[in-house]
Amino acid sequence: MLRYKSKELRDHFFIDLLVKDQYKILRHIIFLLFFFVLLYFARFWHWYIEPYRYIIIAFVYISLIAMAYVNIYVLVPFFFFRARYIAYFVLLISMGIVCLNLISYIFDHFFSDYRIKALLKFEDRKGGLYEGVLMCIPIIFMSTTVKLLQKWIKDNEKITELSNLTLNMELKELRNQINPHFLFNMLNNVKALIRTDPEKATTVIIKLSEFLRYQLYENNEEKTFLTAEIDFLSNFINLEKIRRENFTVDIRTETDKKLLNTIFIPPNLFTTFVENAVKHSVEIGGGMSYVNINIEIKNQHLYFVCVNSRNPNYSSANGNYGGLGLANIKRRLELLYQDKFDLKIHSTNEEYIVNLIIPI
Amino acid sequence: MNCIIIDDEPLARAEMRSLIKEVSEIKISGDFSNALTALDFLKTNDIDLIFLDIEMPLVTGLEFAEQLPKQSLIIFTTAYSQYALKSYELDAIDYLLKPIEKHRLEKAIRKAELYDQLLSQSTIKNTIESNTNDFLFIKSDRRFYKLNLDEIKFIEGLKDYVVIHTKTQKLITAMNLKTTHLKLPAEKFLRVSKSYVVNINFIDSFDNHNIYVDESEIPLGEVFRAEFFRVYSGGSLNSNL
Repeated sequence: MLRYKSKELRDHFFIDLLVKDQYKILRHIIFLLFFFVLLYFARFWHWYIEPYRYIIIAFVYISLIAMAYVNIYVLVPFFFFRARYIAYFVLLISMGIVCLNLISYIFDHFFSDYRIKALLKFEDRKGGLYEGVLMCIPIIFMSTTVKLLQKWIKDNEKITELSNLTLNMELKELRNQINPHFLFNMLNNVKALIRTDPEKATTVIIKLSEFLRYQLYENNEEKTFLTAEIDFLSNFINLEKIRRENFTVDIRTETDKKLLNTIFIPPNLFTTFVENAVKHSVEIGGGMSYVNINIEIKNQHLYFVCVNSRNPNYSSANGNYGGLGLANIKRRLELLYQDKFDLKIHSTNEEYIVNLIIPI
Repeated sequence: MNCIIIDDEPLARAEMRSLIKEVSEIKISGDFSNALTALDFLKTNDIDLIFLDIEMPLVTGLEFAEQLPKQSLIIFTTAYSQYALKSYELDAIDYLLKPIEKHRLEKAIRKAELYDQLLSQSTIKNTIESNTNDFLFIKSDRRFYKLNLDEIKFIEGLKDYVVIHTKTQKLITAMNLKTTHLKLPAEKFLRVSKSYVVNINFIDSFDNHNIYVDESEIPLGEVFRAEFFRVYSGGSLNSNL
């Protein structure tokens, strides 16, 4: 199965720390500690006498952290993520201004008495505000960046998961194509044979059962035995033979049976080509028609050749060779083998020839 | 009555032959593996009924039916039901799904025989001459026959004729369904598919695809369905049964 999970990214502990729910508490502790350290090395609180300087640092710390959390849990999710960017920045800046003014107001009114007077001449009120702004910027930057990063990584995961899902569905879609028309016509033929040739009817029912079993079950596997696939194609063309007059079919391989038994391939890779061959070999003038299939293994590659007779007089009425079925199988081959397969379809006056080479 | 079978599969033709012989006396004049040879045959032979497969190479049964020049009746036979509605647009007698059930075929052949008989009545010149709110008059051989509207169950279009099904009889007139429908009171008679007009008083039941009138199963055409549900149920039902 093709998986696009961004493994290297996910393995990264740092990313996990940022994103995963299990690290949520740790993440917040680191965040809180980081700001504590940042504040601790700031100068302003040293201007005040003990023990008030600790009350001041606690007060500033709580105010700034409160701003950060308002940003993370209110402003970013309700404004930034909803693309209301202008409102976001306006609110963010207003919050910063209001908060900083409030802090300096409280400083001036409640703590000015506890300032160490000797230091007053070095710093004025503006300096304190300046430091406050400098403090705010990393808080907001960091909190917003972390939020954005989290969202980006989670979105990315969702997108890869979704494309995985569509890819799988597409692959399933491309191979699940039981033709109801074929099925009911075969049942009708069996009904006719029961009357005229019960022995043959029995054989047809067995072949039809094998055909259906393969289509219903093997088809959903990712890989199947090459021999099973060959049996399936053989059943299919032999059932088609019952539906037609003057029609011969042949499926053969020169490759050693033991080798065939060791090879797995995705199921139903060749069905479309064989269906087309059967359809386009129709001869309404009463002449002979045929479908010949050859499958060989050489040099780690599988060579599939399907040849069918055609009557050039009627080919135009048949429309384009392949159509939707052929487009589907081409897409499937691309999904499975990228550019490592080789598909050539050509026609002469009497024949259509399909050559497919796939790596194994 | 005679018939031919057109099917690209040899066993399907053999099966059809056996089935027809089992349920009826009609003469099988030939079978053909494709539409082109059948058309050749029809140029020189008068055939009443054609059993026609739809999915065939080169010329499909539907294409064949569209270019069929003669007044042959058609019963479609196919393995797959995606064509059902389309075949009713071609005024087919019936549409049989393969493998075909014996009494389903019998029913189709009975219907074909009836229509064959109606169509062969001397020359059909019957026309609907005039009508009141309660009656309509059918002119046949210079005589007017009175037909009570409340007696009419439904009217079926068949090429250039319509067959009026009443409680007691079936009358054929040389008019098309559209003209006939225009002569009838619209609140009582509803067009329900390309080939049928139904008297709403006779409707026993219906679903999304069929209307049931006594023994008859009348297809409800896709384009007429919404209108039928609106008028017949007065909007109290919708077509998402």
